[in-house]
Amino acid sequence: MMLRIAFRQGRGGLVATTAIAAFNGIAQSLGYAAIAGHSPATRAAFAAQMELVGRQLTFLLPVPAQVETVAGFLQWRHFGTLPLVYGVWALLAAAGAARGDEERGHVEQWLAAGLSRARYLVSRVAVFALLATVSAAVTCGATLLGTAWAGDALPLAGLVAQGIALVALSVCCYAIALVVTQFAVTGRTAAGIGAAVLGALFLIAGAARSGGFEGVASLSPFWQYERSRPLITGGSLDPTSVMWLFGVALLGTAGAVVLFARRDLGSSALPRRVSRAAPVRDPARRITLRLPVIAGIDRQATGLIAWSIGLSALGIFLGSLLPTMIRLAKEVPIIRVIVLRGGSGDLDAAFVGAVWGSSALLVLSSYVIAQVAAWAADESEGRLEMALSAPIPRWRIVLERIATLTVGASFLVLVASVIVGTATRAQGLSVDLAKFAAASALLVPLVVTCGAIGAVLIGWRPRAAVWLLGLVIVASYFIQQLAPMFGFNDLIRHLSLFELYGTPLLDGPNWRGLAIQVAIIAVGFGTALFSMSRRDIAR
Amino acid sequence: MRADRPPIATHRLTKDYGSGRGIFDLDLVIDRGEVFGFLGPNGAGKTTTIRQLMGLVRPSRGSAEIFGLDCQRDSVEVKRHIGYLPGELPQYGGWKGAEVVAYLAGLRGNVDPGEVRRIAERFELDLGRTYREYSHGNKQKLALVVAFMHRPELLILDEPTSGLDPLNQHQFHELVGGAIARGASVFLSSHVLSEVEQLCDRAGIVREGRLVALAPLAELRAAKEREVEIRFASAPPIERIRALDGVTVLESTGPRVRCRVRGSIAPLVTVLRDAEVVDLVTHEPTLEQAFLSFYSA
Repeated sequence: MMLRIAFRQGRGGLVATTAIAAFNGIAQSLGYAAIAGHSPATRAAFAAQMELVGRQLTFLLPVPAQVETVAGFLQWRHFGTLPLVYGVWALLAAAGAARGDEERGHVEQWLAAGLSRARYLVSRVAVFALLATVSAAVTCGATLLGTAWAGDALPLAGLVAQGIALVALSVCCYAIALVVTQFAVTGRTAAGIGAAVLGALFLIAGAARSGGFEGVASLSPFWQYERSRPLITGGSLDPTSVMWLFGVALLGTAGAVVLFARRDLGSSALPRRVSRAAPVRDPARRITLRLPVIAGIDRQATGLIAWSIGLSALGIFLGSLLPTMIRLAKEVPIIRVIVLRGGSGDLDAAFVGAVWGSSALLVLSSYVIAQVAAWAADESEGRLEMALSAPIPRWRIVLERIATLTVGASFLVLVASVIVGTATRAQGLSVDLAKFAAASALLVPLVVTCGAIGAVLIGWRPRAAVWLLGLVIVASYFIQQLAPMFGFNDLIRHLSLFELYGTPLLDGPNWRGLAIQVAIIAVGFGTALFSMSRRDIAR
Repeated sequence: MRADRPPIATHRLTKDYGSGRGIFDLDLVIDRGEVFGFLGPNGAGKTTTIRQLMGLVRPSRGSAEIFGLDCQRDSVEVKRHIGYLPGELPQYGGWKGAEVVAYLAGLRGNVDPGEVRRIAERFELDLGRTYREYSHGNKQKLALVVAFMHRPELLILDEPTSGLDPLNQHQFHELVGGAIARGASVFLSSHVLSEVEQLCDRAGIVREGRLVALAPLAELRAAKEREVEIRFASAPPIERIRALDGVTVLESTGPRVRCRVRGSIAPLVTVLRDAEVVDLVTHEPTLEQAFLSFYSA
């Protein structure tokens, strides 16, 4: 029974992760054939350029090898990226199993039905392992299909071995996250702490590739995963590292079981301070809770600080790679073509625009998804019903959401752009400050555009809104990223919302795109206002 | 708001969710200063009715007015006069109770912090704790604070005592008494007859989406039938029991007598005083039985 419930709980993550990973496999296989060509000479030339790039990107990806073959390229570019995708899935699944279901009261019910705590956690780990196996199998199958479609071939045994390594890494990350989340109280904090720990382990592996943290690198599951390189000639599945990953998964599960058994349901594994404060009978005096819009910002103050730190850190990290990337672009024509999108211009501005623009857009879009998820939760958790029991018109809810989203996004953009702008100048890159400020400011309308689409979806299908908006944003990101590589025509490129942002650092503001954004915002929020005024508020 | 109009008036109010679910053709008028109990089993349509009164759900047909204002068209003005307690409590996660109250008071405006303090003290509710830490009963108390904090003229309460212990139920009854004393009206839904008996002036019973009965509580009490089982140490005074007005003997086997009593049980107790009673068990009627006996009377 528990296994069936756990399987149902994990379906969403399975579908999303497998879709992303399988799509990546097909896209990378086809992309390789499209860019590297089919002759040994073109592939050798491509490999020479990619190895140069790869050596400079070891912070993010494994060291490339045998990139002149499709197997070597996929080992590096596809299976080197997947640890991030599967790591995020493992983290979210573990936080949901350990804390989300507990928060919703499900765990209490299951335990009351006679299930032991140990059996509960072990069955969740077992089901995740099963789901990860299914996902890895589908991903490997899709990758095989992609290479066959491109007229190439992959060693089947190597692909199976790669799948095993991927499953081992996923289960290991899941177990580590399961242990860490025992120290949190809510699903959200659990995901935050888990992300910090797994992120640190990922960075240790990245640093070890460049000669740092070598002493502790073997403690990172991501480093262990990279010991296996079964796709390339002479490479194989490293049994020691796979055993290590499964061993840590077992130890982690056991540790999580012990911590879960020792703590109270709904509490952290850390000892809790007993409050001896006198009871409070008065409403909070904070004026910010009583003001329209400001109350919405007050509600998400901690989250906004976390988002701005994350966005700034990402900006600084990517900024630190820029000088190397620009130096490389001067040596590797293909990168220049991709970054300048076939045109010509200032390489510094093009790189800052491509790296800062696209990563900021992705992070800010995730912020919009989080906001839309909060709007959906307001309704499903009864807060909207309570707000509407006060004498306020329904349209005020929609307007406050727009205003809160705009203020929040502006705050994030302001903080992150100041930090990233300063870091960029410190790197010695020549970027026009006014253009950089304008390019950063133009991120805000795009965030509000995504919010307008989210507002329409919330009015139409509140429960599906988050998934649908996520789909729109992921599709927009992939279309934007893959368009230069595959030479997509304008029709497909214009399907990406991010295309509306343009390349403001390079070409100035995209006025046409801005006008379309304003139109989407007006129509979207107009529709949301109409829908909010007409529909039933239900839970 | 029109002072001469009733606090609640519905005319053929209907919400049809299909397959017989919802509420159909509800005609109801609640008077000023009245405590009205809206009774019915789960899924009968009580919450749907309340959500229509609150303007949260639109009627399929018919209308509802509060103090003469249309619940849909004038919903903002309507809510100035209402205190609302939802049947399903909202979730505020890591917010402190004091923050929830401040936020909702900010939306409403004109809330006296002194009133909040008085209600929180009455229920001994600590507003300094996070919502997540509250038990179900404490969440219910917080919802009651929010419903009563602005001294509304009309209280719409969906299952208000759910999760409250008897002491706090008593506090709630006093709070309702205070609201009535200052001229407020109360519309409360419940599936507990004893609670409605204690609080309400009038009650309506809804079943499968339709109002099947409507009666003043005083008449309902007088007409209420209950079953009484008595076991005697010796031969029962069966003839004296039979002779009592409103008592019907259903079964008499040896020292055991089972009878139905309509209205007050006092005459039966007087007869039993002279007999040697070993055991006495009374069975409260269900809501429907109470109403059916009222209508058959």
